Amino acid sequence: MGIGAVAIAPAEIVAIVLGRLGLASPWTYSEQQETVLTAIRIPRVLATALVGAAWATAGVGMQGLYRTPLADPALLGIGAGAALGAALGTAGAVALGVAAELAGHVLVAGSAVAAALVAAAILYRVASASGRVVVATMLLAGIVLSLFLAALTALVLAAGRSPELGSVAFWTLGSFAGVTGADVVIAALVVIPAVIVLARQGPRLDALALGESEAGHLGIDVDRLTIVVSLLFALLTGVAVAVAGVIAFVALMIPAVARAWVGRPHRAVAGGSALLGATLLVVADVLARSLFSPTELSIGVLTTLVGAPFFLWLLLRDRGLLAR
Amino acid sequence: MTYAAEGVSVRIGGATLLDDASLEVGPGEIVAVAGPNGAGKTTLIGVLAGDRRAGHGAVRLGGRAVADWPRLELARRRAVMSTDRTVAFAYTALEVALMGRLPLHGGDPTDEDRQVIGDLLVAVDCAHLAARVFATLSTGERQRVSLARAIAQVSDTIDAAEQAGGQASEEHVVLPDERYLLLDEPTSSLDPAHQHLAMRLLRREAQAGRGVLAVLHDLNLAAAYADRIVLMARGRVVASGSPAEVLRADLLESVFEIPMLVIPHPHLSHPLVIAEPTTSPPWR
Repeated sequence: MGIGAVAIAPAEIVAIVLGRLGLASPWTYSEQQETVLTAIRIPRVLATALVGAAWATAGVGMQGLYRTPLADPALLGIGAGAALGAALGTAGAVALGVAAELAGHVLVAGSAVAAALVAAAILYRVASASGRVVVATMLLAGIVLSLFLAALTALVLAAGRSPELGSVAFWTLGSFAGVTGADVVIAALVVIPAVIVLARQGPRLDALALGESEAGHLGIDVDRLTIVVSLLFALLTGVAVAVAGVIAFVALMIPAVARAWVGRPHRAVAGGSALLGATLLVVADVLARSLFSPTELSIGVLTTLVGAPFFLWLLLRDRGLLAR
Repeated sequence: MTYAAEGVSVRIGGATLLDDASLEVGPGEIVAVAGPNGAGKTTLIGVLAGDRRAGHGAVRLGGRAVADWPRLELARRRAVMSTDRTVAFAYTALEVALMGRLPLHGGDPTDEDRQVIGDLLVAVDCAHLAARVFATLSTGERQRVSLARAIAQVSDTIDAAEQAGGQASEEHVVLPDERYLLLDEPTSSLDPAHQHLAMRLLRREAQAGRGVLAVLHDLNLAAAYADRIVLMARGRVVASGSPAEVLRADLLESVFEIPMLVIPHPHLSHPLVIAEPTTSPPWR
């Protein structure tokens, strides 16, 4: 929170927080430092942590449903769908004159979630044959879907000709530069309950790893599980995109690291991924802000630089499984 | 009180997978289903399990249509072992076996569940593999762990079995008395010692009151352990009865289309079946 164009020492952060609470402290700080910390840095760190947790757990849900560690909603069209929805929602909010208000933020997040859900439904329909998911089809269909939806988003942005809509780079590479307190509130209200509900589906996702019909033999309503988990990862993806655009590979990397850390059972993987995702993205955002300061790097550039080789490594490792 | 298929037919496109097939398995007995490839054995398991709807006929468990049982109630009454051994992610053998207890614990395995799994992994000679990643096990090892998982789903702890209808601990689900195992080729990848180990385990489950239906290609294994053998061909049940009634050379030759030698076992009471070498192709 101290790192950035306006430097704030850890002691000064403590002093500002204490000062806000009406308490005296031995450290002094400037008014500029106080404004930067409370209006920009704290919301930004909180939003970054929530979005990191959202992407990571969206990945857990999608991977559990598709029974593969290679699923990333940001790469396979769910994120692109959410971006299209968010862009349309922003256009709607601008037209209604509520873009800067809480109602505007809710409209943007809601349309992002709705569009993410439509994208998830399309992908599942294409990638599953009589209840069985084919991983190679999912990857190909997801990437094509993603490109198509990104093209539609670019079309909406070009037709909208409004600075509020944001740039193609914002939606496709992500940034926390414009985060507000309203974003934090919406993200917290969605992400925390969604992670808890997803973790509760953990044992059922574990059984799904045995196969769709095997899970059914264990008394699981697989159709219902599919709908619940799709809803959850679309919700998480939609809100993450509405706040900070599409940030690729977080949802791919974090669950894999979490499995190595806490074991395979999905309940633990969901919790561990939420923590790891939040931490990783906060660190990545600090790097994005400070590496070429004062110029800010898109956070998706950093996650892609690390995540793309990681994806290829996963492909290499699981080559034998994919060939089946 | 049985698990029964009554005049079941399944057609897909122009193909008839099952044609007016009937069979039943009751508590305490092992029924082996045998027949050539494509005879409809796996389809029959699928229909009994409730995965497939029969075009005609009915499938009943305890007098009630399988489709009418709530999922969880059904899962507490019958376990299914399919021939699919793929498991996504690096779950250990122990974790995979524990999934069999999901209908009982709903996500938080109790000590009782762990005890059942521990005992069964010993019983299938896989205790030493418990911490290994399931996907890295050999075909036969995965088959044994899968068998333990299926049995665990409908198995009592030794304590609970001894109490015989006594009170179970508060947090634990009491399984109904009538329970079944539907097993599709449970021994196909096992060496002879483990084949007999698996069949003795199934015999023990039958003695504890479970009804066991197993697709078996090894007719001698069926002869040694099954109470009844159901012989299938082209979607139909061709014969059904005790091993001595069904394992007749003429019947087997007409079903399997290969010369069969059936002789009395030198020192056991059941017949011994040997498919004889032939130069003619196995189709007419």
